Amino acid sequence: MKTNSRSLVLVKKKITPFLFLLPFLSFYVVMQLFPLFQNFRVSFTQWDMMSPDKPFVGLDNFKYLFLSDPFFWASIKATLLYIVLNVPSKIVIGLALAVALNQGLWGKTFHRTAIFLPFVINSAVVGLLFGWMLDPQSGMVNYFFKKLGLPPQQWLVDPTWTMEIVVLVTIWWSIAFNTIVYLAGLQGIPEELYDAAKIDGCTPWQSFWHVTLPGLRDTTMFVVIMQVIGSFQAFGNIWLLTHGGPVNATRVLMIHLYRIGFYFFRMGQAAAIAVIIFIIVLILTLIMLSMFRKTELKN
Amino acid sequence: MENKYYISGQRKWKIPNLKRLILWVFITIIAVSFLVPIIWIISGSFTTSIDLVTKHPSLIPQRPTVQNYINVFTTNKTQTVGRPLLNSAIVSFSTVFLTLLISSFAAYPLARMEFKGSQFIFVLILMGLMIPIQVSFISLYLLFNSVGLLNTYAVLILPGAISPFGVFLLRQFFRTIPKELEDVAMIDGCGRLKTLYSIILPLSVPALLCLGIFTFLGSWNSFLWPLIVLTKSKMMTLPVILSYYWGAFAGVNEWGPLLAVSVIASIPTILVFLLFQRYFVQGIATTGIKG
Repeated sequence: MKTNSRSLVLVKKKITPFLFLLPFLSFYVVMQLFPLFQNFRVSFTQWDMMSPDKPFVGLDNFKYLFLSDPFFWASIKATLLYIVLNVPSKIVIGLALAVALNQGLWGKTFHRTAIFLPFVINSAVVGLLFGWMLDPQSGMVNYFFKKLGLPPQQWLVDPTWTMEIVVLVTIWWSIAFNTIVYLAGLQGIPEELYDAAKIDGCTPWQSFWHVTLPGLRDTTMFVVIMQVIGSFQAFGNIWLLTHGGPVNATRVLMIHLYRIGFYFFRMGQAAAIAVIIFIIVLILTLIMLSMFRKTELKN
Repeated sequence: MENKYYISGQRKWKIPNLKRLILWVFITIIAVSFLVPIIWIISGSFTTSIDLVTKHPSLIPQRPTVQNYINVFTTNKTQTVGRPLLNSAIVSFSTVFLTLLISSFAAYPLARMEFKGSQFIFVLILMGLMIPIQVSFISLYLLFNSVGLLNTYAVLILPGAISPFGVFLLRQFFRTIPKELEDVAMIDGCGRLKTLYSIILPLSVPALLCLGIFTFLGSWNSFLWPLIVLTKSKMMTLPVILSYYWGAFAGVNEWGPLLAVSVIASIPTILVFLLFQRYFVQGIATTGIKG
């Protein structure tokens, strides 16, 4: 009797942690790990969601994307253009805003609240807001253009400046992230370094170059990789402004995936794009992790 | 907890006064211009569609009216905004509640119990931090489709309630709580479950609040996933209904109701941000979480 109840306690002790973990683990496996592997399987099949069978086609979907898809390379080009315009400008602006907000100027609470606020507005509203302001017929941007004697533009209809506009809107919407991360980075630079620089006769500008910037190296690395990873997943902010147009100028990879998957229901090809995005993001994440490992080892 | 990032006077170097003034003017102009689009959308929502097209744009409505708001709640071509608002609220609050519940349950044994496989499970969860959820949307959609759960609350709530980040965050926080407190409770005869909710959780309010805020923002603003899985207008959330309205109304220059819906869709997240700005800033600064 006694040994029985003791072994019962032991068993209970053994399964308790798993009982706590069960809800998370089961959903996690079903809704994140399984779909990830399933996605690889779908990418090797051809399926339109209608026919009952999903024939295995090997690497045909990837071959189609690389060789015959009229839009795949356009979407790679759009994604790279988005990254090239988006990442450096957000680094520079985010750092500049962080340095300015870090000066303890009068009214800093107002400054940072105003600058961080757009970050919590949802992408549908952001798209609509700027779609409205830039509307070629009734938008206020063209109204002010006319007032200033400038010719009104076909904003978001003419592909020339579309990506630049998308990036400007994205900067307004999401600069809070970089600014906050840089603010934290600035706080991490020891005060003594600035004192030493001052004793050596550095001007503020010189100490920015020789103390602040080197001190923010790891922060910048983190921000760059986060931004690049985020750019490969960008969707809402671009979709609502342009739907990937005009003439595919802003058809980034996620938009291409959405169009192929949920307009044409070519699930195999859409899954293949997802696999490509996954591999790129995975490589970037591993690079980031190994960089952090290195700096951690150094310390 | 004082917000350590913004203690005034923590200047890294002294800038001469004139330059400080120039910098102040500069940053103030930037801050105000960041607010302009938001003020503009609020002002536009109190202006009739006809005025919006025919009158010159103005930051303060010249003939203010609440007609747009009345319209979007009562008469509308496709559907009123009441149901999407309710849907968004149900989905967001359930997601936050479930995330906090499931994550703290999973984090507790990982932080405090020794058992076989704990290392493996922890690494498995860390892997989840690296997987961008969008890349599995195709197969996740096919999964929910095959069990006939598209256009339900479940499909909107469940994927968002599984947060490897949440488990990680709470596990790290639980480990900072002194073990002695827990031992005392156990000696008093509390089981593991009771210890979790009577000792650990009350001491973890900052971490729970941080996770709750970001889960709420993410869920309320979620766009691509609801757009994929919703086809019935009855189930649509605010961002999705907004993108549908946009297609229908913008072409005919009916901007008034669109702007009213936009304001309604933005109020909850702006309120959360203004109320919990400190947690919002600390959450990003210390963990790099994205909204």
